Amino acid sequence: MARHWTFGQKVGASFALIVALAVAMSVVSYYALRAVVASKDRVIDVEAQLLIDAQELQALREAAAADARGYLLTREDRFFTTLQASRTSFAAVLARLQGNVVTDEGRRLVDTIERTNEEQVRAMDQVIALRRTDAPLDAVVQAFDNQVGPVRERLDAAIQAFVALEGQRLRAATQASTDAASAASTLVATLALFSVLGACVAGFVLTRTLGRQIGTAVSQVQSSSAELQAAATQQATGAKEQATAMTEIATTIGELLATSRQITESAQRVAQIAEETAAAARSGDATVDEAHASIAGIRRQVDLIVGHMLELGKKSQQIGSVLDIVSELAEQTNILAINATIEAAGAGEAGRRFAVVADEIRKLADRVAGSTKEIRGLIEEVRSAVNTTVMATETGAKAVDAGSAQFGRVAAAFTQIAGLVGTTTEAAREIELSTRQQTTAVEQVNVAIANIAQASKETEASSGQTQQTASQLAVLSTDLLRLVRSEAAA
Amino acid sequence: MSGTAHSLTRRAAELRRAFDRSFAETAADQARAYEDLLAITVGDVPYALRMAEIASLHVDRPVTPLPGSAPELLGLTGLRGAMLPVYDLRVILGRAQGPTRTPRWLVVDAQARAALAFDRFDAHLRVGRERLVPQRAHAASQYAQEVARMDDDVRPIVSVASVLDAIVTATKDTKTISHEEHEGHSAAQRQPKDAAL
Repeated sequence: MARHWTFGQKVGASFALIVALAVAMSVVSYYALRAVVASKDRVIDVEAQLLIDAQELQALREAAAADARGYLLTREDRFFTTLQASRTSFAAVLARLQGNVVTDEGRRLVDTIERTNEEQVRAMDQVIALRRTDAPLDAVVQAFDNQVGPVRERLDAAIQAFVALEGQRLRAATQASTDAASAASTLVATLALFSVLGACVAGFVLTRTLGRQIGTAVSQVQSSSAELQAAATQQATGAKEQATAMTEIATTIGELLATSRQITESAQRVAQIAEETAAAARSGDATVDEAHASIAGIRRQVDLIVGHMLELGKKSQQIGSVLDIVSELAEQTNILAINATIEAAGAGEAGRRFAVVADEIRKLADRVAGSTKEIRGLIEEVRSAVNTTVMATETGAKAVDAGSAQFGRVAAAFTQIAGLVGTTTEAAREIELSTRQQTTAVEQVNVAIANIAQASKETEASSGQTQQTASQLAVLSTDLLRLVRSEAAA
Repeated sequence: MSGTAHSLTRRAAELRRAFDRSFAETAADQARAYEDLLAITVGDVPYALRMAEIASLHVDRPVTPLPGSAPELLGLTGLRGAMLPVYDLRVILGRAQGPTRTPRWLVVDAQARAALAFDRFDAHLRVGRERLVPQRAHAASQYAQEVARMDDDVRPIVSVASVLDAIVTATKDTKTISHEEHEGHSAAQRQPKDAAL
């Protein structure tokens, strides 16, 4: 629980303990002092007053006796008056003593003094009355000695006894007061000692605890200051790099700004070109329609070509059939000519002329057969060419169809392109506007980057200051640790 | 196109001149200088026949096969009112290669004894006699003792007479053996061979 106390709480608790001890000591001292004062007051106000009153009583008795003697000797009234005053004072003092005396012995002695005083007053009054009667002085003296003398001795004895009693009581009270004062002093001194010991213990514990905790904290502060110093160094390096990077970024932003302006100009040109393109696309629609019609015409012509080519193929086949007949005739003519030649040879001299004719017929048949072969070859070539042409034409027709379809898509795409060109124009304008805004934003970014670069430089300077502060903090923590831990000084 | 037409016109003029020139030559010069040959193909081998040994040339004539006949005898055919046996020159010359269709062409020998069938008639050749040379000894066969050397072709000349003589000889031998070993055979069975002869 105590480990979780704060420094303030611990210091406050220590001070509270010390204050509590001081308060206790003060209270005890107060009450002890009050007891001592009360004891002294009682000694002074009661016992000493009683002793004073007793002594005053003795002095008043002696003064009354002196006045009585003076009156008796001189018979002057002033002595009698003084005597009466002394008797009144005596009676007042005695009455006060009767009120203040607390002990039985005291009250008994006061009563004795009172009775004896009354006897002495009566005896004195009798003597004084005697004196007033112009009795001889000797008689008066004798009466005085006989009546007043013993009573006065008893009165003196009583007063002396009372004085002695009160003196004894005064000494006893003084001793008791002194003892009480000594006890109070001892108690106060003890409490003071305990307070000092408590304060020392509290101070020792507080010093030890706080020293340990502060030392730990200071060690941590020292470690943290070292880390802070390292961090400040790193931050300084980072700030420097950041400043460098910011400079590069500022340069790049500058280039970006220039590029953005170029883009703005390009966007303007693009918008202009897009508008021109839109106009061209609108004019191109008519061209596309004409081209579409031309393609349809080409398709019809290709169909005609295919038809003619197929007709040509059929004619070639017919020619081939006729040529087969011609070839057959040539072959048969050749056979006939050969047979005629043979027959002519068998006819001897008579068939020699016929053999010549037959040979010519055979030659003609040979030539016809050769020409027939050539024609057949040519026809085959024609048919092949026709087939190739038909195939190529059909391929071309298909290509034209595909081209027509493709051109239809191209026309649709062209229409779409025209629409998109319009959209592109609008987009180009928006791009131009956006690029202008972007240029403005880039300019603002440029300013902001410059500010950041400045801030980075300031951060770098601040980091250096922080580093210096961290170093000072490390030194301070070392000094503080040296203050709270003596071993740290080593 | 015009070049081709010009060439054809020139060829036509050449034919016309040759035709006219033929009437100017004498018949004796022609007979003395040349030998008439028929260029034929048997199997895939080119041969030649002397026209002097041939009575006639025919094509696509119907040939009626005979049952139980020799392999070289294709059957009978009617030519100019006469029934003639038709022999396969491919078998005789050893050029038969597996089952093939019947040869289209026929020649009848000068004595009209039989017809020889072959695959293709190539041309009528008139070759100078100096180009007819004897076959080399190791290449000479029973039926081709001479060859005709043309500029771009060499053809063995098959002697039709020797072929038919060999057939006749072989047929006689067969007939004799058959008569001795199978005497009593019906005349109907022998008639095709008799007819062939």
